[in-house]
Amino acid sequence: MVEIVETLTLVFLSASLMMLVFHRYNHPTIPAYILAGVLISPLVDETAVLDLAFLGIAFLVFVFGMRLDKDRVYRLVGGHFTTAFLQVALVGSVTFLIAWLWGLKPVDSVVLAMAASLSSSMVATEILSEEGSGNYIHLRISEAVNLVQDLIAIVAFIAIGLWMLPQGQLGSFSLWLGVILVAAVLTREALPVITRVAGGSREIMMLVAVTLLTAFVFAADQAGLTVVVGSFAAGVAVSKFPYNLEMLETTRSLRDFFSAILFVSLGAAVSVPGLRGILVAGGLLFVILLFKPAVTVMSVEYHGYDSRTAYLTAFHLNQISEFSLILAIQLFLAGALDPEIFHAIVLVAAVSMLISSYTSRYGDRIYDFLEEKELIDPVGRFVEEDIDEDLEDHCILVGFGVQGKMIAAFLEENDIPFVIVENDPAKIISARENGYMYVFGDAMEDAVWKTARVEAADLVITTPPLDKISEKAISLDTDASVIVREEDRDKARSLAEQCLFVINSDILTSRRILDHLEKSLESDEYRETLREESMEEMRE
Amino acid sequence: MAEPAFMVADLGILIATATVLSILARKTRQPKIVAYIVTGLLLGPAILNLVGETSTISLMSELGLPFLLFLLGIELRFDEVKPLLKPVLKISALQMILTGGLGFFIARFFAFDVLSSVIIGFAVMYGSTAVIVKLLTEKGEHATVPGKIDIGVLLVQDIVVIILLAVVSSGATDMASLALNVFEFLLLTCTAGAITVLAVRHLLPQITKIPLQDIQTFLVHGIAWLFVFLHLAAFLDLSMEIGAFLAGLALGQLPYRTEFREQIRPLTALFVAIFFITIGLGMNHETLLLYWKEAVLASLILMIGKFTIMFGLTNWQGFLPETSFKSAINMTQTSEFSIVLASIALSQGYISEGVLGFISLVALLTMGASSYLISYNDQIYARFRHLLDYFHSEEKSDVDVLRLEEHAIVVGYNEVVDKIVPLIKDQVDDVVVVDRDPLNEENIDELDCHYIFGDFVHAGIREAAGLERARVIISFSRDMEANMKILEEKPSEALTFLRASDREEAGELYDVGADFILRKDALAAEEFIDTLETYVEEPGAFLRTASDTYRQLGGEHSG
Repeated sequence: MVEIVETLTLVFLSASLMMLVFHRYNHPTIPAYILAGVLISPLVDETAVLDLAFLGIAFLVFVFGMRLDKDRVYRLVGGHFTTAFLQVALVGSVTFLIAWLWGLKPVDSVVLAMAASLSSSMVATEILSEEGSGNYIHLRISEAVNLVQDLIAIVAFIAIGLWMLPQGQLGSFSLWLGVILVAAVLTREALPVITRVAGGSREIMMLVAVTLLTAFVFAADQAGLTVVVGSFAAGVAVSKFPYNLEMLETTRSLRDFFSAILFVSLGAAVSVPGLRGILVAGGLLFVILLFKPAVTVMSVEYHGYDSRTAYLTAFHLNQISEFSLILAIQLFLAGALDPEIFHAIVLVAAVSMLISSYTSRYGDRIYDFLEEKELIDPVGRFVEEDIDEDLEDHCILVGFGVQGKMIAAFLEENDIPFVIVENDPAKIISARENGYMYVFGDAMEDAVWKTARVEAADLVITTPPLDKISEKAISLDTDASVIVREEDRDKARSLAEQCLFVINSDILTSRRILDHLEKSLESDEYRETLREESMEEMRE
Repeated sequence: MAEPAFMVADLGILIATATVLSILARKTRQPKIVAYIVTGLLLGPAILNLVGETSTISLMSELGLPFLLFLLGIELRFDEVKPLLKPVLKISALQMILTGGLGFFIARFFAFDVLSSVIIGFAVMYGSTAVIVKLLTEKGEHATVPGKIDIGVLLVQDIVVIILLAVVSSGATDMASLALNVFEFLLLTCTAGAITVLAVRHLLPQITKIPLQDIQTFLVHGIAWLFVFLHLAAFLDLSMEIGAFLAGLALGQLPYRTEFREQIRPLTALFVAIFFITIGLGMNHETLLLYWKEAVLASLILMIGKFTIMFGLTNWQGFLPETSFKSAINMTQTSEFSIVLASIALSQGYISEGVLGFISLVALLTMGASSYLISYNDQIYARFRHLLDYFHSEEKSDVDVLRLEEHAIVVGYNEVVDKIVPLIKDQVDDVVVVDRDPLNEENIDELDCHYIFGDFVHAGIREAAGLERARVIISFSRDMEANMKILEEKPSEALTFLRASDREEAGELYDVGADFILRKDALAAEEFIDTLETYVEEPGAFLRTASDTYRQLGGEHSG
């Protein structure tokens, strides 16, 4: 017991300290854990906490599965399945071929192929929440691509289980797989009942979650499949929102606790690779940092996005996935994976996650740099427009989201000529359907502004709440009045000095909120009318 | 990881059984601890002999007690019982002496030897924090005067328990070395405590100011903190429990305590469940039932005795008869720590297995019976009310304790909140602002209202904010989980303004009963278009409106 407390003390202390440093510089968590593990590896015997690390895998995948809302999957995956699939297939098969031709065993080559082709949704999400999603197309594409890749990873785990199945086990494999599927469907249906029986007690829901998790992992193990498949099935089985609210809340901290142990012990298991390992690591890093982004850019552009969006997506997806790490450690512990290759993958994972936190944060600057050096040529191919050539005294409206659409309707009503600038193909389609003039391209490009005839414009309104676009609009060489959107209030005030008006939701909405609030408090009648009217308005 | 299926199977059977039994316990208004111990009894050698202790199970079980005490330390807030501190101290000191004495004499009466009787006396003298706090919180009575008295007394008892645990586990054989142990223990604890307090005062604020901006990472930092203390305690030859308790006490002084407590709670619940299951696993029915007649009789006498002692003492301190009655009827059980203390005493050779069985059975019986008394304390009081008239007198009164009621809750700070809080204050007495960004602390302090740091997704945070009794709830959080919970738990007539990211979410929230959904994008655009209209008509007027918009929120826009 004392030794284990000692190990856990080292694990958490190093993880905590490393994370303090990493978060100070906005670096993601997983590489912090891995490096913490590498640092304490001479001091600890990580095998002592392997059972807990194993639970880390289980909870990690369980919570991932639990968050797979059906609607979210359909919505995200729909448009981007081919992008993700193309990328995984191309990068994966090329990596596999090179590794295999180089003389590596098939298992090693498959693991390397997975490591090269899948990117990490955990790291991406962390960066995502930091930047505030929703407003950037490239983040939405990344999110979808990640999701597809994660699902591909699950399929790969099943396939590998099947591949490594001992002779004559196919019968029991299919039997148990069937059991898992039926159990998952039944659990899904029974979840509302379970929630009701538990009566909202979080402690009981936590116990239910652990029960289901262990049961599914056990069944998967009987089928010869890994903990990943079992935990994923368990997670999907309870993914029915909002019945899983209590489970989500409680299992999240279990996941955080056990996965910290997982990633730190992963780092602690690493030792300095030999020459072969270094070669593998170098090759893997090359594929992840150069080849994979190139493929990503290609497939995103192929789907009709402008090249800035394509590059920013690529800069966001250039790291190793946690699923590949899990596969690597499982095969390593089972003695099936070459230790050199295991060390190489873990190290490259930490390094690539770190690098990608920089490339995604400074994506725009890298892109501008590449463009300046004429390494990429965004203009010509991907700017598309439908605009009158002699348009003048018009308004340029950047962004066709919620606000953009409302403003466009207003401009149309008042017979003010306008042109929409937007880089999301889906929104361009909707602009075209409305019969509006548009320029398809990124508002960061001068060529786009030129096409929108900024020199003849009277008014420029930008609605994406992005600093870079506001700054770009203000710095335009034009006589037009400029209105930008800025959600930070202090920044909004200082921007207000430099342009005609700043759209700031807090400032604009506060009077209305206060008004509604005051009147609702005073009169119940107002309150009812408000509810009815706003519901109606929304349903229109 | 060699044989995961094995490990998972044993753990799975334990937790699955515990799940079923806790649901049963819930239906029959029994505490979960009883369900856990029965789980262990059922699956262990006592009955079915299905499951043995694997290394993972025993590791988690051993983490159970430190985590439980860590949580206890975090929750210990002296300022919450401050107004009642004096009477509570008097009550708990005498209560422990009297109840301990009662336990000792009952044990002697049943012909246990002196040492066993002393241990039994120690074991039965405190009430169960887990049972009482849990049930009172569920009933919403933890903030009433009887609730505060009970929790205050339990706090004092918990501290005594920790000292006792340390003394018993030190394994002293004679009075002199026992005294030395107590002295050594007190010295070390006080030193450690003093260092902790100093560290918290001077070091922690420095550390926490800089990096803890990400709420997700609290857990890992907090657990690192806990393990450092466990390690230090082991280094100083103190028990891990003391280390854990001090670690919790230190963290409990931070403003982030509620949030942290909520994050650590599921983990603690898991480990503690396994801990109590393991206790059950370790018993066989022979030792448990060896003294069953004595245990039944002793439980009965103890429950009556505990009630009488507690009622007498509270009444003596001048509280209203109703308060005395309720605080006494809540405190009739022995604590889960009696089993812990007894198992340590057994491992030190102070008592026999039979005595452990006796103490465990008394705990199970009294906890089981007393949960009904707590659940139905109002009805029982109503029945006995006429008998209590005798205790009424002019000078008896209760101390006021703060309890939020008919108040307003604002979730998520932004600058609109600066305007909202004074507006609501005209209508309701108390306003609570709940926010999860430590950087907003100063701004919220200026608003002169209650402030809770944490994520509204956590039930504990919602409880602390008194969601179930609120009159107005305004949430700027876009977290659907939190917003759904608000609508689920709020009083049906409470005015609710929530925020949603898109139309679908807004629709869902309206369906469940929200009064008004803020969709900031749309609302802002509406307002902006109103402003733009003036621009179309007359640019000069537009500029005036524009600068007005900024000025009304204290902006410095010059136009």
